[in-house]
Amino acid sequence: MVPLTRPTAVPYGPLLTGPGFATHSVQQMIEWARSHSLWQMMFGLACCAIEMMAANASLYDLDRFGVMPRGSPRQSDLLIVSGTVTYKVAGMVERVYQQMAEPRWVIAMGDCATAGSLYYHDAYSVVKGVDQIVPVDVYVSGCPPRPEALIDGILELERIIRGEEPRPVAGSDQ
Amino acid sequence: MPVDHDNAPSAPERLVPEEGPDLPPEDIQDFLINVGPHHPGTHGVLRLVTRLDGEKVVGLDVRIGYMHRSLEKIAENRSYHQIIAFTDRTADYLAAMHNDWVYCLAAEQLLGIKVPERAEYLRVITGEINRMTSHLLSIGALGLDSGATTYFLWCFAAREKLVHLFEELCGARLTYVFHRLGGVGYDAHPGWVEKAHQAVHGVIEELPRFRTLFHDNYIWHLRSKDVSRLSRAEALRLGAQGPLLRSTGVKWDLRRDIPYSIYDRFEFDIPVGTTGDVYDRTEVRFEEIIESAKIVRQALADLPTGPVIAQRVPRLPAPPSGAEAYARLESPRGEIGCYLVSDGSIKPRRMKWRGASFHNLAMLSELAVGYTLSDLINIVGTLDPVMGDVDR
Amino acid sequence: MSPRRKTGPDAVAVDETAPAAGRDRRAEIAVLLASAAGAALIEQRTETDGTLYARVAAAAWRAAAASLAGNGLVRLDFLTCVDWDDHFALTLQVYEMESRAVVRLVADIPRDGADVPTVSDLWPAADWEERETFDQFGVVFTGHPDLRRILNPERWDGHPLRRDYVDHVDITRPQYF
Repeated sequence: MVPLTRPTAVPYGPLLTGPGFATHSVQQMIEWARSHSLWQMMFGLACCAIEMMAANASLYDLDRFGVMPRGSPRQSDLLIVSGTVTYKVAGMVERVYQQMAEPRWVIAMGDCATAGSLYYHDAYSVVKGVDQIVPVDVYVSGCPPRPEALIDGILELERIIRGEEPRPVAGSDQ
Repeated sequence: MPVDHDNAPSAPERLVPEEGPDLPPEDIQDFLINVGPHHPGTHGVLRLVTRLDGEKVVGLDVRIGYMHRSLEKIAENRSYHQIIAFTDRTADYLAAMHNDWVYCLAAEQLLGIKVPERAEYLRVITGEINRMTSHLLSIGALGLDSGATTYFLWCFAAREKLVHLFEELCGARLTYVFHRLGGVGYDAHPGWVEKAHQAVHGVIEELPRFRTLFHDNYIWHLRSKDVSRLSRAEALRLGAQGPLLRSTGVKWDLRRDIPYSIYDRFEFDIPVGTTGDVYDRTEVRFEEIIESAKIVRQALADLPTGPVIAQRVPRLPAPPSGAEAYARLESPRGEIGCYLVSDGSIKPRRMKWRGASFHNLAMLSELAVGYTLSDLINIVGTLDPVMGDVDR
Repeated sequence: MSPRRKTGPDAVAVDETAPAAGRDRRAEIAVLLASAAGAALIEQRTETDGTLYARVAAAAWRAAAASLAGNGLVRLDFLTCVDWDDHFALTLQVYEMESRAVVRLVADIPRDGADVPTVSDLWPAADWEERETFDQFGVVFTGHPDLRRILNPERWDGHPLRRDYVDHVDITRPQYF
């Protein structure tokens, strides 16, 4: 995961602007609500899918963060690409992403979705990183990442949604 | 009416009734839908081009290859030690121990390496615990596909107890890279044996509760009995293996019939079914969890001391040109195998991976035609394909 | 023991004398194979693990395979090719459950234009294995009911497991040693 260099300057939370008045921007409230009810598109491709299922199961319980697995892209805001993306399946990944309504976010879970992992060399059929197909917001590394690492990635995404952290820009060193 | 299970036709007896509106026949058409490649069922990327007549599946084309990660091409450019990191994740990641094991068996046969006793015991222990976790996940996912979400959560909770053992042993929860040429890579610390006993006991204690929730459930019986019956002759003809074959009544298990490693020292039973339907396949897997626990307990009790890896295994082994080896073993999905051919260099000429799910999935079109779409999902679940094993 | 467990009758009994039976059976199979292949049988040997290895000329592929299938070796292990730069070694491995006899049949075929008769009617499991061999090596199996690509996308260019395959998509191939 990319370490932060500096937080943004937008304060989060209601401001006391006068005696008895608290103001809070509507935008912030919407982002707060969105970040705490990310409905996840069940997009398990390979081994990372098992850890994603374990994260959804009772020991690591993603439901307490508001993350609920949904089967249809029309009902989800978060696409967790977990597993290796091959050229044969790449078109389907993009189509599923395009079927999601905005605002939508993508977590590249695992090394294969991040950069192709150990299939980087000699694998003619593997797309080296899902960010060649869809824009990714958070990269969670690991092969496979522990469910706690996935939860960490989701919490990072929640902070990005609320504006507490900047979204990584391709090519920058943020 | 008694059914001759040996020679029963593969056509289903529980057919979907021919009901429907009174439209002239030319207004009613079959239609093609895609089940997959992305599917909320948990079997990975599998595409079933299904021709449906209402709810009934009348034709099925199984399209695979969406998880093809070029295992065999990669293996041609890696040394014999390096391939172990690929076999456990590229093929059948749910039974990673078995994949590493079969590759190591083939490579050890090719190179003439003998494995020490403690390593053999550790291989058996981890292999059987892996079989338990794989079966728990398989029947849990089957429950999830059928709508029994609680059962899925229970199976995963039981599985977590065993996965913690692996974490203590080799640091990984799913893709272990535990085996090495000539043994295993990590030794069990003295407290691990006791923890393993407790974890396995904890899982076995819960199984009666699982049976009450799911396997004895009347709704599950309605959904699974007589669905996709498979006769013994058909199973043998089509090349079924693993729990699928055993559910039809064929008592064939490589651990007992072509014993590898030290399986001839343990006492365990081979559960078989009778009709080969979805219910029997699930029951066979459930009973195999209990049998695996028996093997684990026996092996933990007899675990000898000693080294866990052979001495003097070359860093870059180069078997003589033209040497070949094939090793097979019984993974949770059935019979897997690894064929290695050497050309005298430090990299193998060819590594052919024989996957169990590949052969089981090829039978799907015979197994599923005539049943409903919802049965199709259950049938795929009981074939238990892991797309890594199918596509490699 | 759960009362619900049904133990069906053994279709295949465990035979304590299996290794010996395997050896006799292998000798028997070797003789049958030699008679089916005739002059096309180039080499026959027994590997260290007991597998009977038999190499035949490509023209006798179907006859040799049929003699194996007709004599009880109904379980298919795999069917694939090995690329030895000037030719392919088409390899088939089958075994018999009762005697545990394993036979590996090998035929040398040319890299291009090889016309190999299918064995998918002898072993239904060979259907997908032949599709995979076609997909990865380009070997065409005549008489196969549905020979199309199985692992790679349908419009993929080339046959990836061949040693002369050029990966158009990804060019980074550093050498390791």
